[in-house]
Formats: sequence, C-alpha cells, structure tokens
Amino acid sequence: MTFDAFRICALKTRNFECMRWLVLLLTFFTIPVWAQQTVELFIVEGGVTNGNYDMPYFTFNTSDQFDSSNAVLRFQTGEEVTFHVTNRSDFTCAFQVEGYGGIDRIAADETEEWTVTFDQPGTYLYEDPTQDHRALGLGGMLVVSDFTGPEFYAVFTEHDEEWIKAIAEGGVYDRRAYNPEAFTINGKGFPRTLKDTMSFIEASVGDTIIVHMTNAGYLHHFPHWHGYHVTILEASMHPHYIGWVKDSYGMAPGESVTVQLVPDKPGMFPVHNHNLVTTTIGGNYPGGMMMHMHIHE
Amino acid sequence: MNRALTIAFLSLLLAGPAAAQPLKQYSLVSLMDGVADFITDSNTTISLPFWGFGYTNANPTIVLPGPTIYAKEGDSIHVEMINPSMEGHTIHFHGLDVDQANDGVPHTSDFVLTNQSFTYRFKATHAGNFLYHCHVTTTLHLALGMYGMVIVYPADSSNRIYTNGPTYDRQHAYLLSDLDSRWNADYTAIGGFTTYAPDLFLINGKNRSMNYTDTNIQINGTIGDQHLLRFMNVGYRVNRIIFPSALNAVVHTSDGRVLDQPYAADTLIIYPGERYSVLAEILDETPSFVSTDYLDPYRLRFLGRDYIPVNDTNFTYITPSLEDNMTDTVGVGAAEIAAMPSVLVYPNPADNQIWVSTQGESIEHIEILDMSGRRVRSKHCQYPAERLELDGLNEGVYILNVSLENGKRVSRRCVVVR
Repeated sequence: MTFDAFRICALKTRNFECMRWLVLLLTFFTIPVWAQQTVELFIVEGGVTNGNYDMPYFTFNTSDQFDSSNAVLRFQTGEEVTFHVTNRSDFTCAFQVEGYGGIDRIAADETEEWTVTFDQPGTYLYEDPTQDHRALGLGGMLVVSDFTGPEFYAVFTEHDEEWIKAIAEGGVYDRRAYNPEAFTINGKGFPRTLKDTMSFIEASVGDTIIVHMTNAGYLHHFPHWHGYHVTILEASMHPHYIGWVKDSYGMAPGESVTVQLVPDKPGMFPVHNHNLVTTTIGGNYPGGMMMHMHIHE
Repeated sequence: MNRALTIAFLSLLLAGPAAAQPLKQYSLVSLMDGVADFITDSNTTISLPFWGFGYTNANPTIVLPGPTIYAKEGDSIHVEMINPSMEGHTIHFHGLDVDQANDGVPHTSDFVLTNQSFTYRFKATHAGNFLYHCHVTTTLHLALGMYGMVIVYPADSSNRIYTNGPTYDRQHAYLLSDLDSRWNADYTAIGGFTTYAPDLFLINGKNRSMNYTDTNIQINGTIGDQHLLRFMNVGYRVNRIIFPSALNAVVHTSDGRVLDQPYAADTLIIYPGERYSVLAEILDETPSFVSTDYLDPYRLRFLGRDYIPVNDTNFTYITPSLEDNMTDTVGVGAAEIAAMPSVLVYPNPADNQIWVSTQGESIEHIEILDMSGRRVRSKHCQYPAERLELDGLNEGVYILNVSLENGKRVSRRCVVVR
C-alpha cells in the first residue's frame, strides 16, 4: 500500500485526533511526491443489505476488497494525481470526476490511468457515468480542500434491486417505475451508520466542522439537522443556498452540498432525510438515511 | 461542580428575578382516533381516520394539523404532551434546535408511552416558521397526521416578518402536506413503507373547496397591501409554489433565519422540512390564484395541485392539464442522465471572454453566478454557441447556468484568471 492510498483509507478510520496528526505528518513528507501522487482504485462487486436480503452492489474501493462505502477521495488544492482504475466487474465501466473529466472506458479486468491536477476547491461527485451504472452503486465523493479541522463525508444513495439486477445480469428495466427499496449513507443504512466513521460526526462544542454531502442517487434527497442550524458553503445545483443558514435543504441527483456546523451545545442528534420513506430499511424505522452527531462538552 | 454552582449563583445575583423570561405554556394530547373529510379527484368527499394532536381538556379532540403553537422571540416554551393513546408518541420541534433531552427522538431522547406525559422545554431564539411532529415510527405517525406549526413572532409582537424586519398588513400560514388515503384508511395494511404513494395534497390539513372560502387561506386585499405568506412543507414530497403576476412575491426568510439578500420569485421550490416567509404585495385586484404543486422526489414529477385564491371568493378547483401531468421539472433522473446534453465551456480558465457551446441545441439563456450565488451576468441567446464577455468580473470561480431550447438546464463551473 502506498502512502497516498493509506491517506485515503485513513479517512475511514476513527480516532480523528490521531489521524489528523498522521495526515499532517504524511502531508508534510509527501509534498515533494505530489507530482507523482498515485491513487489505486478498484471497481469491486459485493453486496449491500436492505435488512432482509443482500443485493448485488458495486463500489470504487482503494483495494480490491469490497467495501459498501465508495472511497472518499480527498486532495489539497493544486495536487497532481494519477489514478490507476482497475475494473474487477464483468462489464465495461468508466471513471469520471464532475468538472474534471476522467477515463471513458475501462474494459473488464483492465486497468486504465488518468492524471489530473485538482486546482479548484470543492466537493464533487465521481462516478461511472456509463448509463445507469450509478444505480449499481458506482458513485462517490471527491473533495478538494485545504481545510484541516474536523471534516465528515456523507454520500446519499438509494438502491433498487430490480434495476441493479437488470444492469448487472442483463435485463429490461423501466426507469419510469423506479421504486428503490433501500436508502443508505456511505453504503450503510441506520443503524450501521452509527459505525460509519466517515459520516458519524464526533466533535466538541465550538468546533468548526465541515460536512460534505453528495447525492449519488437518482432521487432528490432532503437532509434535516436536529439540534443545530448549519451554514451552506457550497451547493452545486442550488447556488442560491450559498450563505444561507438552514436546518433542512434539498440535494438534486448528482449534487454536492458542503455545510459548516459550529455546535453550541453538547448532545447526540440525528441528521436524516425528511422524505421519511427513506429513513426505513427492510420495513423498519428508524433505518436508512439517518446519520448522527455526538457533540461533546 | 463548584464552578457550575458559582456561575449559577453569580447569574442569580446579577440577573435576579427581573430577568425571568416570558413563558408560553401549552398542553396537548396525542390520540389516534381522529376522523377528517377530504375531497378526492372525482370530487367526492371521503372520511378517513387520522392520528394527531389536540388541546388537553375533559374530552379532547384532535385536529389536522395539530394546534399551532405561537410564541415571541426570546420566550421560553413549555409544551406538555399527554398520551392517552395505545402507542408511544413524542413531539420533535423541527428547526427549533432544542437540546437532546427535549428533542423528541425515542432513540436519543425518550418515548412518551401510554398514559405518560412529558413537558418539552425550550427557547424560541429566532422569529420565523417551524414545525412539530411525532418522531416515533415517524414515517407512519407523521404521514397519518401527527404534525403542526410553531410560529414565532418578533420580541415586540410587531407586525414585522422578523425583529426589525419589513412590516406586513396581513399574514397567512400554509402548512403543506401529502397523504396516502390507503395508509390512513388502514395503517395495519400498508405493506411496507416504500408503498407510500400520496393521492391527497393538503393545505392546513384540508384540500380543494374545503379551503377556498376560508378567509385565513384566501389572499384578499387592495393594491399595495403586503401579505406575509408562511409556507411550510411537512410532507414527503416537494412543493412548488407558483405566484400569479397579481402578486409581487419576495422571499425574506428560510428555516427561521433571515436571508442576507431577499429575492423576488415567481416560483418557489420547498423541499420536505423547509419553511419560507414570503412577503407578497398585491399589484392587481383582478381575481387570480397561487398554485401549490406537489412533486415526486424522483425527477420532480408532477403529482398534484391545489390553489390559494387571490381576491376570488368564488374560486373553484381547476383540474391540471395533461401538460402539467407530463411535466418533469428541473430534476435530473435516470432518463436525463443518459441524454444529458453536452455543454462545453471554454477556455476554462478564462480571462476576458468565454464560449459556451452545445452539440446543436440552441442556448436560450446563460447566467453567471458568483460563489455567493449573486447573478453577475445574464444573457438571452439563440445559437448553439454563444460568447460572453467577462470584463469587470473579479478573478475567481463562477457558476454558469445554461438554459437550452428543450427546457433543459445545465450548470457548469468556470474560473476567471487574468
């Protein structure tokens, strides 16, 4: 595992204080290496559960071991990065970063390479733009930022087993009848989100916290914050939101929204989609698109 | 502990009893035995069971929506909830940023079980529009009717939208929600939460002709009158409010917070959980109406419509045209992903001018927004390739919103560097 891949995996690891130092340390040592920074990405098949049964699922991971969360790719402004994307699925895929381009074609079991300089800060959807492949799970978040404080990441996606099977196994699917039955944040439905270190906000009163959200699904999603209002810093498809102080907002399919949270009191609070059909999983409530924050004194 | 005691003692000493905050007290019951009438698509009246909240008294009756809770900015609010029903319920005060103990979420706060009661205590820190709803098996309990509004006035009780904000002559509160008549008819037979398919679209718990003669719903007035319209979406569907040309609608607050820049809108999208205060000036006394649309989170498909009459006491329901029913609005769904128009912006980064081009579709309009969302350029266009001058724009990142002839709208980022 290269240092750089390690930095990305590190974002999935809790113990933020420790990781922050490690990331800073690694950043310091890797500055001269940026010109050759390499990220290994794998398109891997696995399964997500909707509570009653597993459905086939595909994600971009930093190793060829399946993880239901697409890797969060995080870079600093100006970094030059070479991606090696390996397709472990049975069909041709692609890799595209919103606004930056990518790789148009990655045949089954092939590896393709793409080099890019991330010169514009922001939160971006990356995906396999091949028709409907995002429905397989192939959509994640790429962050370009120089922020060094506590930062969290939530990719909202919904899943329709029938559609996934039609794409993965070949078949007909009528998109007009789209009826997803599972709803996840970072590929996990509540209560599994409680163990999702990318979206579980652990911080203290008075901290300035940045939370990046990307809607990698095909439905509009509507995060609602309990306990606090947040300031919207970026909303790629609702630019009028920028600067507004909100507790509820909409994210269009493919949209990324970045918010700043400065908690004024301690507590454990949920953040969930207010289309409450999505806060269920396998017929249970609460479930699905619900993450949490634990704010310490 | 010592420090806390000292602070508490000092606070008492400094503030004294004179600083005791005004207190608003409410007592509500939660019950599951309501019955309400609605008007169906075939213009017949149906009665459906609902769950909800009502005032506490010897023989409590629940109402849809629940009683509105009023307070002034700075007030302390105590809401006692008594639960004589057969299931656990709670009240979550949506947008009031209450502390964890009073948040009404069973898995982080607590249930109010059968024959128990709980008093929710919090402070109204901002004037504006808020919601309350049960947070137990919310998907079901809210859908069946367990919700209401919280309206917070400025501290001085003035007829201003917010403290020191613009004044209004009259105000109206519109709580928009959607209801699946099948769920309300028999909640034990819904067959899974993803079956939710609303067929009744409500304003303040009623629909169609039940509302049109209600003077709290109607917007009646003479030219120059300023009406404050409070819109709140407690449903699971997207609302689209379309204002007639007889009203000059200006959006002033959202989610109980003042917008830095109020803006005029002929259409307002309200996502689930969002609230807006709109100041509407009457420009024309001819009868007209505000349309309230209900759209699906998938591709923002049109699901239904109701109306708010403007200076029209004889308003009758207008069946939406086939065109409305076919409309997909700004949402990008699966079908559009496949056919997403290719719009190129070059050079990017740019210095003094920029080209926007398509693969043959005519561009109708281009606007450039800066990163604070302010429109800095706007151009009406007609060709598949259009040039925009960037003189006078500061270096930085901008958003280009490009409208195409087929109604599609595409956003691109561009960077100006000199």
